[in-house]
Amino acid sequence: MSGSSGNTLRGVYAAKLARTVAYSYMALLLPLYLSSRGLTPLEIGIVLACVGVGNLLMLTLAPALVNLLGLRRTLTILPLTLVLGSLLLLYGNGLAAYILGGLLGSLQRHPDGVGGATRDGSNTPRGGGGG
Amino acid sequence: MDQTLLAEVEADKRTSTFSHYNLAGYAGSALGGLILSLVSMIASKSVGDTLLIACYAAVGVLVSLIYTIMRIPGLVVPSRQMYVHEVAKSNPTLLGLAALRC
Repeated sequence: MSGSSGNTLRGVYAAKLARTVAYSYMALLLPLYLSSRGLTPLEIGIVLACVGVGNLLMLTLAPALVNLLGLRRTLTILPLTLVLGSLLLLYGNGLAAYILGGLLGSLQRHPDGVGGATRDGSNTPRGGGGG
Repeated sequence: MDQTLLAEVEADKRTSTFSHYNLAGYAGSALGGLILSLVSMIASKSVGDTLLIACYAAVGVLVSLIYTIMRIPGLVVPSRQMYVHEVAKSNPTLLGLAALRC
């Protein structure tokens, strides 16, 4: 990566910053929000478990998605699942809607996961040639 | 996945690039906690919750826009045969680590 690498890196940093801001407050807000919507602790636990399942799905499917759609499309489309997840959390009614919202909202999350960047940075992918 | 892009930088800049990337993550994490407490001080619970979840959706749009306008260099994708072979070798380790993360 050279030439416009500065701009590309700034974009990656900006995206990372924006995502971790949202994830870190959402990790705290989600259980409280679900509680205020009348879910029991068991149901809240189920929704949070589904967030973990969403992470697991993403980690498993990401390479196949990138191979299928290409890196740019994958990076562009996946964040939009946050919008769907948010809409379901805001306007959904019932456990199934919140579970789906939690799943969709976590699909873009990858290693920095719940709690922000505290577990991040350990996975350096293989460098390709690129340009 | 965006870390794939970081691995594309020149070898001598890679360490600082990953450092900056993680710094952005830690800063974002701290900022998120601060935003949550500020919003809970300023707004009522229902309004604050709705506002923050709407912002969560807006972040999705923002990140998508960033990657839409960003110039992403082409990556060299290994051949399918090589890819399958290597993934098969490392699958047990990867699955174990993924399970630990959950």
